[in-house]
Amino acid sequence: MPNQVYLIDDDEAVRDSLVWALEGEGLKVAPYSSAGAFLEAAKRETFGCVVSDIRMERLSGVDLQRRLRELGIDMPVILITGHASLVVAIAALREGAFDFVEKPVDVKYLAQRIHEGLSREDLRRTAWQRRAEAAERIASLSPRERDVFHAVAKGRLNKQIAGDLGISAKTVEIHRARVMEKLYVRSVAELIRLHLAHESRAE
Amino acid sequence: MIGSIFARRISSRLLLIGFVNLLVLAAVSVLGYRLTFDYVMNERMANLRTLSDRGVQVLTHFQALAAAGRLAEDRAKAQAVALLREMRKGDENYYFIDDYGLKSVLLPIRPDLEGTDVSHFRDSTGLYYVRKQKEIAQSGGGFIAYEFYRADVEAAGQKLSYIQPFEPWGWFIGIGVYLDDVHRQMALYIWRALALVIAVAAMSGLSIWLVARQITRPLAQLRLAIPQLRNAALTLPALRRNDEIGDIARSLASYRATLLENDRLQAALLSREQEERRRREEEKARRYRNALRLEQTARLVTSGEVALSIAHELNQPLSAVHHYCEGALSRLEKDTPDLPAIRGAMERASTQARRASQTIARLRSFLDRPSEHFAACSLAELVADVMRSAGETEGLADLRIENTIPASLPAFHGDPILIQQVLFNLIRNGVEAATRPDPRIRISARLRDDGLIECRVRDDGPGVPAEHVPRLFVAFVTTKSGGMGVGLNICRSIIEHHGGSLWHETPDEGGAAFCFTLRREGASDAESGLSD
Repeated sequence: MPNQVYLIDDDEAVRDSLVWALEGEGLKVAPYSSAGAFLEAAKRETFGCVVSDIRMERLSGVDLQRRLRELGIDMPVILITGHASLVVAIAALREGAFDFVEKPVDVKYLAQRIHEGLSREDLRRTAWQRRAEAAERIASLSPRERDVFHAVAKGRLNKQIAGDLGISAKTVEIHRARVMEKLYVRSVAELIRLHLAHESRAE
Repeated sequence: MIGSIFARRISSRLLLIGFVNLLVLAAVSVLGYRLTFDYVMNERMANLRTLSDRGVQVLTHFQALAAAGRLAEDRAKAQAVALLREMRKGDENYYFIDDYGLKSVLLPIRPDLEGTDVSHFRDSTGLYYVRKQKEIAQSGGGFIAYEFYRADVEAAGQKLSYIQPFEPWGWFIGIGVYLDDVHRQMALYIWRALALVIAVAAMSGLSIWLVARQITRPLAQLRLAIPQLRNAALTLPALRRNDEIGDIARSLASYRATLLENDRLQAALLSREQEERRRREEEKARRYRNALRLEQTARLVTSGEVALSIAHELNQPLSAVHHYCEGALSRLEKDTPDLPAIRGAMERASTQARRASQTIARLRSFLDRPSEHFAACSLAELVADVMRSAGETEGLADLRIENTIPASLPAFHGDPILIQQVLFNLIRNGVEAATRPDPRIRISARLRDDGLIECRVRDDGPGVPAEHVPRLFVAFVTTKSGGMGVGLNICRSIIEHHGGSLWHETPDEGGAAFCFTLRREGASDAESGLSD
């Protein structure tokens, strides 16, 4: 879903009118009436652009953005405010907001910023998929093959690995070939990249 | 236990004393009876002994004559018996003589029995008293009590006799007395004693009753009166008596006078306290109401909270309208616009526009609220109040306010709380504009020729820059970083609500001055030049 927008505003009229306006710009909009409702639905593998009102009951837009980051959901967040206050805007951007727009919203500008945010999301999605694939492939390794995989990724030589694991260099050789085959990698460089992707996901 | 029974009432105790007295009297009487009886008996017995001795002397005399041979023994006996017979006194005291053979020698009341055997004589108790008399005589003599026939009354009577032996002739002589006399005498004694006891009992009973009546009745009345001492209608008893009860009653009366006076004072004090408390409560409630309104208007004027909320309230529907329009415009640019959908969005936009105008209507009715709190107020007093609260406000403690409002200034007509807020806001503006650490604010006022009161608040800051002056009273325009730019605007609204005006002046001596006018108390609209 490349054009997904998550819209959070507790004022029904504003929410409905923004859905109408953004859909007019060809975006797919999922409206939520509170930050809490959206946080319940959001997952790590949720991709899209968050557009949230700042001034809301209970959790504000800035709170929502902070909570998303804490959960590791790194979607771009565009905040909407009723009255532009430079202080609040700077604080929000410092917290990592993607942008900050004033009500009434310039829909064209907002749509453009959403698209920019979504293209950033494409990168995140690709990286996520790669990591997911890597994890899947690594999961297919046998325990001994996984040991060999980690050792190779750390730059150990075959002989050293054989010493570490208490097996013959020949056996290491065979395991290594099986690992390359199972992970669909052709070079040690590729193997290391896959290892890194896996490590970053495991954070 | 008896003590506890009688301790209950004084009259009972008095009765107890009387009763004890009576008992003692009775005991004394019984003792007296006994003593008297013993005395009488002793007297009789002594008498008997004397008489008996005289009888024995007669016998001895004649026996001596016989022994001396001057008389024949028979003659001597006969003369002795004859003499002794004559020595009889009435039917009571007579000598009788029997011989050891138990034959009667002398028996004056029955001479026919003399010389006969009398050993078979016995009385109703079965006592053979003649035989007994012989035994007593043989043992040396003594008394004997027995029943014996009485000639004078012709009946048996209690008799006490003294028997002495007269060995020379083998006789024993006795003389007796009838105890009936003694008993009669003692009965008389008993009757007298009884009469005395009854008389004493009656007299002491009467006196006890009288005393008890005199003491216990007034005491009981006093006792009943004590719990009712606070009853002013009550009359105390026994006040005129000159004994201890009278003293008690008089003490009670004086105590009661003190008590009643004390009650009266306490009641007066209580009612005064209640009045004072009621006044204080009213004052507190009034202050609380004022504080509440002050708080509300303070928020309204200084923080612009209401303005902020109104801005938000208006911005929401207007934003929605804008978004609907933008979305519609965007769709209309397409080749085949979805007109029904656009129509729906336009309807929703229209609803939001109506919501905005309703918010404005609500705001208008809020601002047009009735001037119910209007009253005659002294501007000088208001300024004094504001100075006091400024002194307690953080950041305003170092402020120096010069209040030059003349005391002769007439009262204005308005809401003191709102005008206070205007003053407070103007002072605060002055303080915030100041560059010195100890800002000085001058407040002055005068009565103008047109009848309006003009008040002037001047600070010693840098003044309002010329380019800002035209926009001073525009809402949401501010030169202050923390403000909303609604303060002066609302101040002007308040003053206009009071039929006055608020404006800015640049004084020659520097700083900034804000002036406002208020209507005098009692002035009509026409007089104050209000045309609206």
